[in-house]
Amino acid sequence: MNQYNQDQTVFANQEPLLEDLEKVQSPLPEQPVEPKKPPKLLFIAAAAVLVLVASLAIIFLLQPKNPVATLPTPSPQTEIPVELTPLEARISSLEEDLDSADPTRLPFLLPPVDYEIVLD
Amino acid sequence: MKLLNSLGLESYKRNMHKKLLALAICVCTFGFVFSVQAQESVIGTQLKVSSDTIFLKRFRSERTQELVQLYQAQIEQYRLYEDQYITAKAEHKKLQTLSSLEQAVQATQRVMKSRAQVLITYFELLQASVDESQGIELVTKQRISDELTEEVNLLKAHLGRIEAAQDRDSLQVMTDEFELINENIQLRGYRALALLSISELQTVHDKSKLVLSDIQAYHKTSSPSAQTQARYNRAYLETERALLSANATLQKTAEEVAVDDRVTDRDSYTNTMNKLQPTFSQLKQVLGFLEELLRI
Repeated sequence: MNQYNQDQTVFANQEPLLEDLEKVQSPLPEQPVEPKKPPKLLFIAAAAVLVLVASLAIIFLLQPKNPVATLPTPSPQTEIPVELTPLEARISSLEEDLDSADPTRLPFLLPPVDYEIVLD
Repeated sequence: MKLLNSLGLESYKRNMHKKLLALAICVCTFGFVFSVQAQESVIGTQLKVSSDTIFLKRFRSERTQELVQLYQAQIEQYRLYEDQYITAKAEHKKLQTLSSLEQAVQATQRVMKSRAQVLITYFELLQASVDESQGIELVTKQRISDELTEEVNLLKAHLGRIEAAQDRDSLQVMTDEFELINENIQLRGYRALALLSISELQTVHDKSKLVLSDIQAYHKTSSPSAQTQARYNRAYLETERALLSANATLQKTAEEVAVDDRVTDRDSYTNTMNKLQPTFSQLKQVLGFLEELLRI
């Protein structure tokens, strides 16, 4: 039943296995080690960062340089494309007037001030 | 040892990759949030500009444009004084010293004066707008204009008394006085605003009616066939019907506002504006009909 070799003389000739690790030879012949390729994940991450930087740059470029709303000069006449007939131009102008008269937009409200200023 | 070393190196490399990946995900998330915020900021700016443009489009004359600019400068000044008033009042409540009282009295007087100036300019702007409006009956227009002039005079007198007020008791008198003035400010202000909105819609109605009659005249010059003329007539009828209905609602609402005093405050004003929404849609439909009539 015992699976080990019972011959003690063979054992005496053998050297201890763990005394010199350097002498232990690899069962496989040594092959030249090829440099490892970087994993795909790294490429994907780098690409994502590049895309992000590019999109941020585009967003910044598209942003208006002076976003503060300034008072537009009054324009008594609306800009009308040249190809419109006089009747079409009148209707177009009326459409603009109607849009600015939308009652639910309520741009007209009393000033946003404190109507109950009291010291005590 | 080499085996252990190589195992350690592999583990180190794997950790480095994981860290790089985590870093990339963090950068992407940060970038995404940032870009969304940047886009929201751009959209917000566009909305602000658009809203300002709509607001200012209502004031076309030189006089109203000047008043709008003055009003904007005054409201900015008011905001500053209001902050100072809130701070001074809170400090006085906390410290209860003569010095903090003095600061609070001065801040209250400043903000009261500033509020009166803002309201004076606003009512002058309202009056100028009413005077320039086209869609209101002359009698109603005159009555509203007179009311607004009276309001401006009341506010100017109130401003004079605030300037003369020297102590907390006189400022308390000013607070009580403003309470009475404020009732009229709300009533007259919102009534004028409602009439201005009605007048703008009425003007669109009146001009649409003129365009319809000009389109009819234009069609006549082209000598249409009997079939085309019948088609024109049906289209005219529908357009006139929509115009009549819009006009009836506008007249009725104007009467409710000017004669029956239905608009007395912000809530009743908002209700009236909501009631005008179907008329607004009807006028939009009329303009669509007119465009179609030109294409027939």
